[in-house]
Amino acid sequence: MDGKFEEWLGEPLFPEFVGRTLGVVGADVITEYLKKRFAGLRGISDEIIQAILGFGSIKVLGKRHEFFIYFGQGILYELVARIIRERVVKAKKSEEPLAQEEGDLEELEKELTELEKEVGASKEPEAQKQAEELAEVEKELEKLEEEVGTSKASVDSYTSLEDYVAKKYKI
Amino acid sequence: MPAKIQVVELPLEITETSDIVTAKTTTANIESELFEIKVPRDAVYVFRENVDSVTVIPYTNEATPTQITEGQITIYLSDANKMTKWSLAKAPVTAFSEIQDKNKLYFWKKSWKATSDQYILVTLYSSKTASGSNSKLRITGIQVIRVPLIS
Repeated sequence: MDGKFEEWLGEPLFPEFVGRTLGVVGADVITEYLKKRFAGLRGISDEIIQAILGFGSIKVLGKRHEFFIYFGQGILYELVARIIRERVVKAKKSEEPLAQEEGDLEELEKELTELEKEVGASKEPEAQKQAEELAEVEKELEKLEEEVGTSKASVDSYTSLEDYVAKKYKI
Repeated sequence: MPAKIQVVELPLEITETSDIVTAKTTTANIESELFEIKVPRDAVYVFRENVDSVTVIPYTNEATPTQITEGQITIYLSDANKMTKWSLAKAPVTAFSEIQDKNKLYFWKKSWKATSDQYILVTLYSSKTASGSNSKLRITGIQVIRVPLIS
């Protein structure tokens, strides 16, 4: 990551998880994830999801799984809010905004306000739940890494009986 | 990348009755084999310095065997074709005759290993003829065995 994304996004909610790879996922998985995330929220269209996907996977992070991790940390709502805000700001800067666009903007601003309210209400428990889930996954990962590490040391380190004996007994 | 293997280590005690031991009859006044031990396939025997010991008690090749206390015992490691031999221990017969007292056992002076198909040869040079069938043998060590990978 080049740092611009973090600068734009602000401080992550769970900085200890940033940069941790939980697995590579494709755009379809991310889309499903986003749709599930936004299932109960109003005003989140496919267009916005596509914007997030395009933004995250192509321009900023480059790697989809890193992008996915960001969304796994409870930042999702913030990100969506900011994307909407940027769209609004960008549209306002336009010299001759069309009436239709203004209408859209108003609607978007309303959506943003609603979203922010909902996020304010639901972010903390949701984030806590996600953090707990991630902590569990982390524990499992650590356990697996430990197991893999152990077996790796005992299996990979020698290729024959003589090699084993030479390494263990120095003869 | 070389294939991976899994190994298991087990205690090793070779005696005159072990399957891998062949008892022989020696010739008087000629250094000749008393026991021949062949290391099995997919195994390496490890003998640790000052930890593992060897006991050889030769008996005469007679109807009523008597213990031989005169002469010299040499233990060799040999390749599968017995073309090359390496001397591992060489001492008077009595040096190897203790079987129980840890303070008197003959411990290996240096760690060594015997790999698959190699021979461990116990030879005797004595004025008397010894019979391996009547004699006693005890060698301790560790056997490292290759086991199939379970995937």
